[in-house]
Amino acid sequence: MSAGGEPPSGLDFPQALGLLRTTLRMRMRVGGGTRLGRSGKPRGLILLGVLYAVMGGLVGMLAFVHVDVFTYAIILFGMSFFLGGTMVISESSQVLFNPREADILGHRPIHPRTLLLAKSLSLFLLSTFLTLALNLAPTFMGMRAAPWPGLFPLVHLATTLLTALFAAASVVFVYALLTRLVGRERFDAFVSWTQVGATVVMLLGYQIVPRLIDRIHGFRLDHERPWLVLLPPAWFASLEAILVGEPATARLGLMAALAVVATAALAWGAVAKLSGTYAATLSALGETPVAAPTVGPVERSPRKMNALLRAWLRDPVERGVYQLARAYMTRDRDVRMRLYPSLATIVVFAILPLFDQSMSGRAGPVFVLTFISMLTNTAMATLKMSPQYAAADIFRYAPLAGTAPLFHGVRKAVIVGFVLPTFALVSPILWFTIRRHELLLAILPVLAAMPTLSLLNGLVGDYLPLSLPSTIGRQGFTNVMSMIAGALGAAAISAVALLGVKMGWFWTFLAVELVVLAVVHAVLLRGIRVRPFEALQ
Amino acid sequence: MIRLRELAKNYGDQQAVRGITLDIPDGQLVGLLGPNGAGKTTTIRMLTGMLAPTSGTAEVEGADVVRDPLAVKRVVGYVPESGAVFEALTAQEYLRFVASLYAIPEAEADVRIGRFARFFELDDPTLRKSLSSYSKGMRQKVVITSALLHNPRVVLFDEPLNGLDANAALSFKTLITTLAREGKTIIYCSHILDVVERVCNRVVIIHQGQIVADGTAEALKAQTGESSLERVFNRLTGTENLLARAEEFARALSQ
Repeated sequence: MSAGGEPPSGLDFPQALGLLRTTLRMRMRVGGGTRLGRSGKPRGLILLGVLYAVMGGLVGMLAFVHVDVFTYAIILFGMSFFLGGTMVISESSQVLFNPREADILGHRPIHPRTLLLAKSLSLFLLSTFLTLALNLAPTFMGMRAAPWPGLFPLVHLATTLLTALFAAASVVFVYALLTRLVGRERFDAFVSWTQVGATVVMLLGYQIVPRLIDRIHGFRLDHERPWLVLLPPAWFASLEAILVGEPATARLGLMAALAVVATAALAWGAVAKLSGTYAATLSALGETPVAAPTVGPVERSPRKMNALLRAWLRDPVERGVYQLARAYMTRDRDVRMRLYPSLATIVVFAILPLFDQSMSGRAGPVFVLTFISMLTNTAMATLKMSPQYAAADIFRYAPLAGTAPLFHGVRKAVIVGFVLPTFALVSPILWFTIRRHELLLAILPVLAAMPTLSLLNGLVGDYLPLSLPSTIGRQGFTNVMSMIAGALGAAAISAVALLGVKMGWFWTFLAVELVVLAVVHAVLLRGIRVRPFEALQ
Repeated sequence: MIRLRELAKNYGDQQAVRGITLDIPDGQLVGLLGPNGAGKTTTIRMLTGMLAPTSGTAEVEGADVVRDPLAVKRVVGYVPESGAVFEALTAQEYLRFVASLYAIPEAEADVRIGRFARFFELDDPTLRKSLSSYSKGMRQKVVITSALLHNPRVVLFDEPLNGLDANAALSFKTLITTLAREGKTIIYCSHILDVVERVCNRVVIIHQGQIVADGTAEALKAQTGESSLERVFNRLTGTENLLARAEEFARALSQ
């Protein structure tokens, strides 16, 4: 309570605003409170905003191809919901479930509803920033598609804010519900897989809707189709269509009502009904379980590792860091919640041919494999961050000549523990979903490039595992950039490979690629090996 | 042997350490004292080779911390004030991991881990538990073990008693005096002055980045005419009118 007695609702708005300000300040501060003493703007978030604004500008051009308001809005809100939602999901771990917070806030007179409201608002603001960036240009471009053009910017802005609120409220509601349904012991395991599931659902919605629209002539989606009621972006598109003067049919009216009611219900349900169990779980996360169970080994004991792995990890420092990284990938909730949602992209692209038969005959499978190859870079960026970043000082006072063994230890852990299992999981799916199996040949050049691509991270700054506190936008920007790099890599390698399959010089191309990769690989390895270890200034 | 010559460190305009000159011979156990923000941790971090000095020189066992930081790191053991560990690992995994950073063979590492575990009364099942489930004191025992695992000739302790219970603290004090007797050079940073007074054979007090006192606890007491190290510290680091300030604070609370 900020002052006086407790309000009957448990909501103390001045206190919530104070908490919100502090949460945002902490999450935005780059390296805030670290011994590196750096400070500044959240560059990752700003770059992400710029990137989304450019993407929005490109999508907004749809307004110039005789699209109607509903179709225009459903595409934009589909993207907004996915991009805003996934960002909120990736940040929610630190914002909602920071175990150290129990020591700081647990004993303060803060009602659970006030605490959850403040946390939810910070996620809403994050989601708003990104969805507004995405919708900046389309807000004005969409005037071309609206019956009452003058009203469109205002209505689109308001509906965009409601979409952002819905995305944030959904995430908070799901996590708050999870705290009620599963106990403290199972929470850690459940929460990261729930995150993967939520990302898959959002990505599926985002990918499938444009494909369905693609089949309709003239870029006009019939809003009377019954299945649209299942898609939240359609609810918000309906609301927008009605507000800018489209004729309000009963179905459009129903979906518009769903947008408002569902958003209000989720926000109310999370804050008013589930805040009690949320507070209890947050407190339990900060507890020191005295009778904690013994932890199983991350890998068989180093002396019992299989010969191949042991030979690959002959350097003892590499081996030690390999096991450290494997432990964090399997045991640490924060790392898992950042790492595994990136699998969603792979899984969705692998199963998309089930929804779109034309994809199975094109380069879709090769794109999937290229995304897998980029997983190494995404995962390595994730493994630079940790709640125990202060412990990474040990890399600075241990007698290490450079960061090469640290980098290679993490890289190998990611390949063995994350990339190869993903490849093994996705390959059978691809086999069943694609029709032209000769296209699988085109996967070989992508696979061959994987080890070399995985070295790229080692050339950018000192690679110190688990040494950075996670700040807002850092992970989201990394993931988006990795996806873009993956798409560009796919364009370059798979286009040539597919052409080679078609023209009959595929094997020559592969041989040349292998030679080039061998040279590039050697150069990159040397570059990483000779990087000195800089003392802190 | 540790040798500092006009060692200084600036963070922008702020001078954290202002030209410290100090020699610490082998086998000496030196208590490094100072109020919060005096420059103790900065000095220690420069001695580990992890933080570059702005000016001056520092040598540890003949190796310069700037020119040959690797040689310094090989002979130094460090217990940081943060006591941070990688909590996703078990204690056993963490200690094996630290051993790998110092190129200690795995079999040898296990022998040494067992020895320290017996000393700190950490049994096998406890060693196989995740560090996230450890209490602060138990975690500190692991941090101390990790600093000594490679048998360093120089050991730097920054508030090592954080979280240790009375028995563990007593064991630790016995351990460091034994280590010093065996010829290890030890710097011991702490705010617990009576412990420093009892275990250290030399006390250095830093205030605002400079050395303001250097000698045995007895000599410092004699020089200042004070009855305890706590009073010496209080006098040299300028906490004045303590009673009046406490009364003013209490009054402010009740208003």
